[in-house]
Amino acid sequence: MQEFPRTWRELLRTIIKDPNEKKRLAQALDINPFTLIRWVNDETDPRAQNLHQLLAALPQHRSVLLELIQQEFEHFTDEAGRKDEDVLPEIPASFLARVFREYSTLNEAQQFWSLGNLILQQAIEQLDPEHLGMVCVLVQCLPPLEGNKISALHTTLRLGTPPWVGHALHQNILLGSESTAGYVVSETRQAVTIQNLEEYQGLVPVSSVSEAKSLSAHPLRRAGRIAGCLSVASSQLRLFTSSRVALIQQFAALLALILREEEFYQPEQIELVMMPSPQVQQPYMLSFQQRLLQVMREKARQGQTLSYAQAERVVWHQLQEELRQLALASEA
Amino acid sequence: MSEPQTWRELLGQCLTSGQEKERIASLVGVNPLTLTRWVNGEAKPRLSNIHRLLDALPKYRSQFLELLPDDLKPVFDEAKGLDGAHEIPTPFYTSVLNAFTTTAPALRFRAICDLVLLQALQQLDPNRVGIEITVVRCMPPAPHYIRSLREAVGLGTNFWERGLDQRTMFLGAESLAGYVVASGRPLAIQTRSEWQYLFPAHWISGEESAAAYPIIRAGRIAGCLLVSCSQPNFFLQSRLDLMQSYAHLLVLAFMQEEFYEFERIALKIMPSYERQKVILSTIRQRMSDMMKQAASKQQSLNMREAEQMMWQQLEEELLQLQSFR
Repeated sequence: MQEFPRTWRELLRTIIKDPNEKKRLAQALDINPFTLIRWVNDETDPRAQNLHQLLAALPQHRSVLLELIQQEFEHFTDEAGRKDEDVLPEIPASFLARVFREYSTLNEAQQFWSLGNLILQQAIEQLDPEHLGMVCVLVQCLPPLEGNKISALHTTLRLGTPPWVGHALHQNILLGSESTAGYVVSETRQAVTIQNLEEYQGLVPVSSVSEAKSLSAHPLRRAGRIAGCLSVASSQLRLFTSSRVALIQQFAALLALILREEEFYQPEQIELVMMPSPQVQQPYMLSFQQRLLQVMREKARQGQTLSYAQAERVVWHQLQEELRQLALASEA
Repeated sequence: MSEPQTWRELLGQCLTSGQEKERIASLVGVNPLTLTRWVNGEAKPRLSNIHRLLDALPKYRSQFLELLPDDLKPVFDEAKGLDGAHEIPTPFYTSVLNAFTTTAPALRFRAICDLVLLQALQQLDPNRVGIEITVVRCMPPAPHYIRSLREAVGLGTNFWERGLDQRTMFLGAESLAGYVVASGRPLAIQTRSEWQYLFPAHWISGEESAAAYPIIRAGRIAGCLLVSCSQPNFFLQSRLDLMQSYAHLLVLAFMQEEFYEFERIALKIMPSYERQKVILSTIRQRMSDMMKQAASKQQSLNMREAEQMMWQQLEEELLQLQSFR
């Protein structure tokens, strides 16, 4: 297993093992490749400007690199980086005009997918312009069966940059009281931001989004009711500066706009239970389509017709119940 | 004063006093002497000066436009940047979304209309040429068809100045708003003669141009955004684009059930404003009568329900008034 680097020089050593990367860095910093080797061997110290250039050239390592550099050079500050964060651009007016134009023209069936994806795309573009790794997930209350309370949330939209693309994109899971999203929806109803998931020891339950280093979750509200939350996870430590958090809040407000009135619930209607980890859920979720067909066939045999949406709901509740039992059993 | 034959003569007539000359010069951003040189034909203004000149003298805008030679005539479609911003600023979207998220459904209409009208007024008429903006909404169906529209909230600058008061005029098939709601298409009227030709019944003195945008959500209609102006040719493309964006935002003010299928819009002709005024002056009295009556029968009736009932009564009376003509 690869060991975590203890100094910035060690980290740099692993990076420049790749000769192409060594060449690229030397060019980016306008120095001789040998200089890089001398830094790695602790024979010379770089100037502050070199360090700034190094951070800029290695965006994917920025947060770790900065921390390690500061261990050695206490007074080094990443001013350039801070400046970038402070001037995080607002959501462009033209984008908002487009959202509202489409909101008034699209029919309800199209609106959710079409606008939801548009908003998440824009969010990722603005929150992670360098594509360091981010995933945005829309989490909504699983509509309860009549008379019941809401016991779980489900992920309804998901968009990410590496390492969260491909298969994971279609991953549908249930979340409960064990998750950060669940905590936001049922407990605080306020945004929660965790800058370092590994070291976090607070009260908020931390759901394991694999490879996430930090996350920020924002409730979707309307007139005192709540529909779910927008959860944003990053592969970087401490990515969620106050200006980023403010921006996510605006995207959450836009997402809340595209949800229907009946998808918002009074706080007292929500009583989440524990759900098992995504890994445990996976085989169950893979059986979703099969279960759906089964439910529809069964109803047909009984002479009843069931719409796709109704059948989907039945299956979600089957899954919710089975997964709840599973979580209970593993607790015991 | 004789009718000016050139734009230079017209400008000369506008410079009635030294003070006025100073005012115009500062708005146009030139030395007062430059204005004199323009009047005397000693110098030619740049196109950007002409734009500012037109804004500084809104009353003479149409006259200038007629007299200006082609090479000095502003090309309005390309003049977007010059009429002020042509898109709604991001922070305003944020505050509307915030109002939408935090306001109780019953209060949403007023909260969002108030915000939107105020911002639209500032953005559409920064020089206070004199415009009026109104949100017109469909009356509830009776029982299946929508027979009229009602001006729900309005705001104006200059001689229409009146604050965010409740407007009480009913509009029907005879009006610009009626046309736009029934057809679902926006329409702009640029001059008085066009107006009198199209909608003779609803021309109010002082109005020179007007435009209306439907408020539509997913193929259903709730009403329209109506803007009228004391100047002809006010509705440049950039202003129409802005109006459209505001109409899109106003979708948030209405509840889902307040959007109706177009097949249900069957507007009747409503009486003229003069004839409506008599009946509409009884609003307060009617409201208090209704509340008292409910109280005496020990029925619970809140203000909102009472108001709704009253509007429906008034609509009925106005329709009868019209049919007896």
